[in-house]
Amino acid sequence: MRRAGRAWVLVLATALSFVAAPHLHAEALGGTSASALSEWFDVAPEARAYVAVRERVLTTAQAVLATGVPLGPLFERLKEGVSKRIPPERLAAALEEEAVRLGVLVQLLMPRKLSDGARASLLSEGSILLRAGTSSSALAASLDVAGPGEEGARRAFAAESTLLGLRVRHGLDAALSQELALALVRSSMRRERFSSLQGLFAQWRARGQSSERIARAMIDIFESGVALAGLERELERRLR
Amino acid sequence: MIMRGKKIIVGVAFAALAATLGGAVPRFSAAIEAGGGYGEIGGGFGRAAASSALEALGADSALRLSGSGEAAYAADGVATGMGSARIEFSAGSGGFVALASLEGGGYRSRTDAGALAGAGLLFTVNGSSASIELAPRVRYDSGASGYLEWGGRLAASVAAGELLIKPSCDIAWEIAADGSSSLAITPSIGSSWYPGLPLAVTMGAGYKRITASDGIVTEALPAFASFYGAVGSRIAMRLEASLEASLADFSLFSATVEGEVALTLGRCSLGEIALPLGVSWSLDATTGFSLGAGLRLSLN
Repeated sequence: MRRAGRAWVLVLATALSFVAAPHLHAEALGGTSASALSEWFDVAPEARAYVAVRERVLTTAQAVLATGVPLGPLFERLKEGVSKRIPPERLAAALEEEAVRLGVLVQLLMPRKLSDGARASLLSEGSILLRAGTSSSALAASLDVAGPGEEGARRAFAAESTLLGLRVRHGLDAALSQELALALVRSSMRRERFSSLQGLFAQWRARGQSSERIARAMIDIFESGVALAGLERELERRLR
Repeated sequence: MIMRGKKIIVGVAFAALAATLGGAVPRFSAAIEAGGGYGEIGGGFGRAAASSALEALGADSALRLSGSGEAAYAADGVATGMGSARIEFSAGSGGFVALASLEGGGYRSRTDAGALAGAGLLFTVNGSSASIELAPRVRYDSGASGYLEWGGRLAASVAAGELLIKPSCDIAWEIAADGSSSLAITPSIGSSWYPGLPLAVTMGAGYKRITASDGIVTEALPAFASFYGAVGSRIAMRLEASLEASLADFSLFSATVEGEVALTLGRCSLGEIALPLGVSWSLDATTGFSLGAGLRLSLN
């Protein structure tokens, strides 16, 4: 399994290095360089227990940098794993998997002009979504219909994050969930209010409606251009 | 055979109407519930309920037929129930929606029975942070304590962070079965809170002024609060309470509390099955306190 993970990183590194935009090859993307990571292994007291996987982690980091992926999110995951005292072998394998996810996300975000900070934060957010079970094709579809730039990407990720919660909690099937995610991205609702759907969904589930019926009603309502104030009113009319 | 013929005619008529909505495909949903429990009035009871809706949604218009029914039989030999059917047509453009509805039905309670009829219009304007609606209506209840009511409601919803602020004003002119009439004006303010969790809280209060035809004025304070939540992926719960108190001495005209915890037992592509456990209380002497449980099947 571990070998397969390493092979994936190398294949990904090779493949992506051909397509990654040249401006993404700067070593310091994401605020962390490979040398900073190496130095952290040398000086951080908590890193001593991880000396055995140091080279493996650095190889992963080099591969990640070679594909133009900022090192910041990976470094954060490393420090998080160390603080949680994850066994070294398991942590190294998890970082290799994270490298694959970050590679996928870099591809998805590549068409967008993003600042380094925004890119690093979106990569962290996207990685959490992928780890939690959102498919890369669902993320790609949401990004396709979202507006341009950072706001469009954040809108797509926020919609997928909201729908991930609805899938887990209310058993919404993946296809309908994606339909609702796309309707939400296209809607006139502000991104900060997407999470209100959690409460609205809970409300109508508690009032005896099936998840599918609520989701279908929400899709229809969003497609008619309604935002939160109208959504609550329209659900009351259609589902009561 | 005759019933089957009627169903076919209704189906064909609906399909024809749906076709006028731009080739919309009708969508059907239904729920069936059966169970029983114990009531303070009447003792043990058995209960069955069903509802269904058939919708055809076009690009800018929609047609919806819905119906619901409920019947209960208590250990003291009293049967109660209600049934209603509703048809509504809506059309809109941009943020504006206009809707017309007609409904009819009947009921039998422990003390009364009658037929119900109603018609209404609803005009809604939806914006990105606010929504406003005007809903004139007429309702008729043929029961011994029935009425004919002409009324209307003007309401708005304004989004403010995680809150929706909802001011409204309702005006109703009612002619009671005994021939007396009254005018009720109820301005109120409510709010809904959606904190980004599987939780919703709604509450509101208002002032109700009823002026009877003989000049007597009654002032009341209506209020309500609701709590909805989900725990894990299988448990949904709700608690709804409402009251209306006299402003003169704060005595209660009416009060109800209803709570339910529903456990989802299973889901499939056709729908889901749940086990609802409910408790309710009403100040109404013919209802009182009751506990109930059942099985609810929801079909998509």
